[in-house]
Amino acid sequence: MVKIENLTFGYKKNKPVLENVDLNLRKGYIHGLLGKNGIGKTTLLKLISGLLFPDKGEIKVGEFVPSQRKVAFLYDTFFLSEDLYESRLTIEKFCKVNSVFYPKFSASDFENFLKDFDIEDTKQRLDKLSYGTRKKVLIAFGLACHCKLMLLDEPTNGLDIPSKSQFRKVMLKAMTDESCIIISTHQVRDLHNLIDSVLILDNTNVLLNASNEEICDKIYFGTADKINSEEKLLFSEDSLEGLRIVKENTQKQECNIDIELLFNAVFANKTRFRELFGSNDEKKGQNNGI
Amino acid sequence: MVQTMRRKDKTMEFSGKRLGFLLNKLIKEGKREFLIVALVFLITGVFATQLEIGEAILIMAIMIGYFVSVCENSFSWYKRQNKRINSLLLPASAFEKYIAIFILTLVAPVVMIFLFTLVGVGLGNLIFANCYISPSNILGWFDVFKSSEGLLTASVLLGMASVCFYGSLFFKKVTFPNLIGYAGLSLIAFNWIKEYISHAYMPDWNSPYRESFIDAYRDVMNCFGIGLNLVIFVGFMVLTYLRLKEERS
Repeated sequence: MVKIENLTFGYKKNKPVLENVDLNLRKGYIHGLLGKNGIGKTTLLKLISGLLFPDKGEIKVGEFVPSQRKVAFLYDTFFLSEDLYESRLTIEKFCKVNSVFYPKFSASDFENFLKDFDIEDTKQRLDKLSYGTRKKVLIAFGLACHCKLMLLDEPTNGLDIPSKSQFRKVMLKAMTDESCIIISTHQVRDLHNLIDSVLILDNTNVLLNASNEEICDKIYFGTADKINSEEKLLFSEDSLEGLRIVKENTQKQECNIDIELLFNAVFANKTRFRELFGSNDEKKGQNNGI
Repeated sequence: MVQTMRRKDKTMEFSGKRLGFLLNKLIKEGKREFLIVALVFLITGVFATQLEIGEAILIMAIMIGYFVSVCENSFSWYKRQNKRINSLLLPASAFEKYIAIFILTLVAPVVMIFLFTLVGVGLGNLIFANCYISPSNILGWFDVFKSSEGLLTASVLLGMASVCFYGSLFFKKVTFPNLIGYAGLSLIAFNWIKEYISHAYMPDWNSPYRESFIDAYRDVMNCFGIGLNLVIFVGFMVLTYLRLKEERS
């Protein structure tokens, strides 16, 4: 769905935020875009959506080049920025005025998503809503547009605890085989049980891009009483339940991904992870995402 | 911008229906700004009838009000990050967005300001017994455009509107004060050239051609002014469109 080749971009000359990035993001997946603050997650999302133009390289979303901002591309793209859209219109009017631009918009789905988020009164003005509620309205609107590409920048920021779990439920409900959702966040716990693929950015490039199956196939997450020196340990940290470990899954044991642990492990052991999951160059062309 | 020119659009994406949706969205979201402009000119119109120099004040108010409105409202969608994102990613082509903004912020205010001033003056005439201005005075303003000086005035207004239109997208913030600075510098430069030409080629006081030179010079400068302003108008309108296509967030 999203194919990026040799992408370089920087806000200032000679100071690239992203450099020679190659990436394939498949449809039917919810991709979690992770990385430290200021590493370029939002920039990457903006480049994919056509809000920024690459300095070098090419981005393709399906058959479209995002920077051309063709109407057919925009029909199928929804971007939720962290800086939320403000409008003096009520939720109802906002929906009426904006939905006409999206051919696949479903008013009943919008209502249902709002209900899922516990938003009943659609006569409220958007600019009078709290940040979290406004975010929920915009997420519901975006999902009701049924766009093939959804880019969500820090969608759980500002949401209270029940809303975060509502968010996960709503996202899973709205996900189809035809859509590709990219969620950027630095709050990795919020994506637990939601994402199908992990993308970690580090210093101008991609550090890890792998599906959950691939990660579980190669990495084991678990707890241990003590470190066994024979195991290929990648990372460990103390917790109340004991020692939380990340090791190479040589015995092909079943496990659940702990995104936070994975994130820490990747940064603690970059070289080994690169070897295990292959560099970008090796991965080039392997994922036929579209 | 050069990139845009190179990256030729094979199809000009345009749909009248989408333009209608855009106009509807812009009107609904900018309702308050439209109401403020209407009220300001209605009230100005009413009270201007009580001033001896009311007509001059009205003309000044309309000029300043219109250009401030073009500067601040034209690309208000692009002045803040969240609105810019919403606007850039709204499923409509850059051309449709451009036309919608052109209609609503460049053309509509002219009609609206004029109509509400006219209604204001009319109301003033109904409320107050002695008035210095009547609605017929306002309608008489259009007679100015019948002369060649009037055409020059019209072309200057068009040129200025197009500069404000472009400036609204270019400067993003504090557009009007910025443009006043640039406009002032341009006027000084233009006047300097005008004075230089007239002094350099002006025949002596005793010359029999002096009067004819002055007449011819005025006509030539009028035509030159009209032409220059039309070039400025077209140029800035095209530049605005190209910049809008290249707008990023």
